[in-house]
Amino acid sequence: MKKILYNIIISIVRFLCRISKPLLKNDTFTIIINKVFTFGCYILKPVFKEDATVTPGYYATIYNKDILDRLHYPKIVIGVTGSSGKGSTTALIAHVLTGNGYKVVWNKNGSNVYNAATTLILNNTKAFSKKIDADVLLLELDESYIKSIFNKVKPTHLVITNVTRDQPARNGDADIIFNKIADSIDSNTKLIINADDPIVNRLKYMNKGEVITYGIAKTNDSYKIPMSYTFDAAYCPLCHTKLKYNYYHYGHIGSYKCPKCEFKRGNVDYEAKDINLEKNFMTINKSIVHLNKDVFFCCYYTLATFAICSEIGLTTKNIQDYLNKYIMESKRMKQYYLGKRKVEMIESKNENALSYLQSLNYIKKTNGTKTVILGFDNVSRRYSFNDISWLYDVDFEILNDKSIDKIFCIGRFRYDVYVRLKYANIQSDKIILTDDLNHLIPLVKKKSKGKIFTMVCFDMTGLLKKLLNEEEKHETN
Amino acid sequence: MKLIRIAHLYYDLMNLYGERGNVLALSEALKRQGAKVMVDNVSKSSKIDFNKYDFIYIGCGTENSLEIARADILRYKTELKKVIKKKFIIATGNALSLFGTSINGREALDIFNFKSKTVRNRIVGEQVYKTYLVDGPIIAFQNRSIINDINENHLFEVISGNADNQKSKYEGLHINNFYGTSSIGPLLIRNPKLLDKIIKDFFDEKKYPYKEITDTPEYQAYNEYLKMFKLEKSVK
Repeated sequence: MKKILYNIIISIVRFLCRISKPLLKNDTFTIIINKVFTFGCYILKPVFKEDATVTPGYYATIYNKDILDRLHYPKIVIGVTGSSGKGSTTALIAHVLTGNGYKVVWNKNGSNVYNAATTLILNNTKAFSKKIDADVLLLELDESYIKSIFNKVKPTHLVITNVTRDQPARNGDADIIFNKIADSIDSNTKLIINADDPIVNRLKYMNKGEVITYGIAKTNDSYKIPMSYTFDAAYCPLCHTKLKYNYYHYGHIGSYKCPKCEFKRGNVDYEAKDINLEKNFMTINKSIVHLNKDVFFCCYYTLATFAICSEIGLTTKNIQDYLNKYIMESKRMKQYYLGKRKVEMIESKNENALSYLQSLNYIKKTNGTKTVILGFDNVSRRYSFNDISWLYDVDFEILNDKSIDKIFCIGRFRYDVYVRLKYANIQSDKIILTDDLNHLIPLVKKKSKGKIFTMVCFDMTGLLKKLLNEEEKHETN
Repeated sequence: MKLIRIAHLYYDLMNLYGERGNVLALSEALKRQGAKVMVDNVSKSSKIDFNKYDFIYIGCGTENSLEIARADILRYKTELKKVIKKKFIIATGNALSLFGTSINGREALDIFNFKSKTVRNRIVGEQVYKTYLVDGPIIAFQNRSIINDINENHLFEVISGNADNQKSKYEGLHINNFYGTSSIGPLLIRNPKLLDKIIKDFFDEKKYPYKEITDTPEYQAYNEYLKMFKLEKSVK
């Protein structure tokens, strides 16, 4: 039914676009149409349960291809890209800038592809003056679309968080991602880069424009030897000698130096240290800042925010006010309980091995006995390939720990997950293969102990929430 | 049974898509047969004596990594040519191309007679093959930008997926104990029959007693995968 309705609406939209084709060549008309479509999508949202952020921009660019070339952009245009952390970084930058009185247009909903950026920009453009109604245009950008967007919208600043293997079936590998970013930059854009990442740091040596660096000093949790076999950048990009590391934060992120040539992490412009995740603070260049989450990657997005906000002219106090006093609330999911046991639902993408790895580490480091529910029906939200290679890019060996009581494998690929856990030398009696999801909650209650962590892909989160809600109702009755 | 040694060649360079899984698979399968196993991670800075290994595994890398590996592996050209018939060598992903005559016109090991070149559009997707080595389908994944013009000694026949190049119906290379495929990821974990065939050949050659073991989680996962995607009858 929904699908039929959708097809009818799309046909009407197409028909309207076709008959008004000559009019759509007019920028003002396109801007208005984009706003009308967005409003239409907003009204229909309860029916389709999805944000239609892409569709209006799609039609705008089909009929008025170069409209983005003719708009008047604000003085500050910031892009944020990288394999992970770009969404959190963008949100925090928006929070600090808005707090300091800037009018910021940004992609709140995380929709970061070309047509979504077009929708966003046109919705915030005055129809007649073609001026974008903002002091700052702030765009979280998918690495694969960055070039097409930057051909149209020239950023004044670009923040690059990291480049790691991410959605391999769509992105290929880290070198390919890096090249896409590097190819899209021109020398007028000031780069704010994470120098702890030797892939991103290549830009310091090859970029003609200004490059500002940030990084995190050695912490109590830093590693002397790589914690993972998954390694994207073991060799110097300039002379192909193996890099020497002082310490690793995770993956290839850390402090490194080429023994043969000049390539190194070196001193950075913005350095975070004295990290205290329990008390939620750290210092950046001697200033204390608050962390809105007790996880390591929060240090990176807070640091990146501090760096970019300083670069566009905010004072340390301005920034600290909105990091420390008026704190951005971190997204909190509904807290579930199974009897008296807390349930923490971690959403981690399968396709980004290093993000997944950090989630596993987070589970391991949590105090007390733990039970973990793992599984997925589809590998990715972005593609339909069933590429399970990533299971061997992630060090599930981390879960081979005394504090883990049981691991439940669910989902279509539970047997593959089970095999992976066996290769991590986790004892068979700790792993419970759950073929029928209706048995999951009773099994977890009966056979396992401790706090419950779920690490399932997007496609199963809803299902688990449903099971937990039903169980809660059942218990309160 | 003496100690069996595996070299994981360019472990820190050619390790793109969970390929370490193949080394784990080899090592586990050998241990199941009662063997003692030692894995050496060797790379650009090592001085490798290929004679001391029974198995040599090399996985897939980025285009940059492949180029670094290509330039480096040439120092072993003569030695590898000498041991190629004696050793069990397994190459996955673009590592296969190192064993041909050239990659994009640049010198390769020249052990087998085929050329490789990179192409603009990446080849990505699920694969189903058949092979004369074992019954049942081979399940795999590809994610590459290189094609090989292999004309004989094919490892797999493509049921669905991508062959060596557009003109071919076959994928990979199998000569003596050399197994090469453009497929990536934990191929030997996902295809326990193929893995066991390789191990059995090795045991037969060494005259070590071999016992068939199929009640493993790997076989279960393989069978479940075939069931889930209705592939049981895809190979006659």
